[in-house]
Amino acid sequence: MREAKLWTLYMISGMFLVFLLGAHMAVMHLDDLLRLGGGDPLAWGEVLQRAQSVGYLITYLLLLTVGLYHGLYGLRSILLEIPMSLRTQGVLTRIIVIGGLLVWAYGVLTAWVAFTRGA
Amino acid sequence: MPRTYPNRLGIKGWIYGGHYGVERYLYALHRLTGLAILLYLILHIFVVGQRAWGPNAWKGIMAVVDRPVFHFLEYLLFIAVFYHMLNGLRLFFVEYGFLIGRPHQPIYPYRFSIHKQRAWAILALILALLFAVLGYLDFFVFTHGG
Repeated sequence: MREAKLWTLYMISGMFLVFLLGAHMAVMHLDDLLRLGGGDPLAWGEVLQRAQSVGYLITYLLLLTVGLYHGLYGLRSILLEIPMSLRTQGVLTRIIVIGGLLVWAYGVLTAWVAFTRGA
Repeated sequence: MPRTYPNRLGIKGWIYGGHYGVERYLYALHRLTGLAILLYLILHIFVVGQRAWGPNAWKGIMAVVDRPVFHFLEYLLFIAVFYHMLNGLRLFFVEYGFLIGRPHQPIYPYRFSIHKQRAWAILALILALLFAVLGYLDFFVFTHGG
């Protein structure tokens, strides 16, 4: 039952990513074609402006969380197809979860520090 | 305690489509692009995180990645993201029973769901190609200051 719930969350996270990642791609890589205005999105001024926006902060945190869950669950699904004992499956799952949480924590920390920079 | 069953195909099963058809290869490409995107995401979190440590740190990391080879790899990732997204949408709808039509009795001439959902697979590929072209224009033609 737990795996079914994790799978459903995986599908839902994929749908969220269609919108979140699609928007992120549009802002970062299709800005010229879509005439979104502004300068180079990678220029420090633009980066700082986005980093200190509440809307972008929430979007980035959502993208970070949902993207990491979707990607790491997919990785786990692929790796669990390799024949291995149940104990090894448990160890693999814990490694992926702990690694994912560490990366997530770093992402949240840097997003928050950038948001409060200059505040 | 749940029982595990031996995987007869092993790792080769990830790539070899067997008799499952073109959709199996689309799925293999879906997995490959997914792994590439995951690897990029983890690196991306560390690269973009440099903005937290000030303009010098940001400009330093941008100086490292602002090279033609990275721009090209970024473009390949852009294509991978849109392929993964569009094929993922197709898989999502098929998984929940949409796009495959109603069940029919197995009476000749037989009708298979593959005939209905393959059109959506082709549509997803065409849209992915369209995004690849749009991405090429934004990455290499309409560049900032160019």
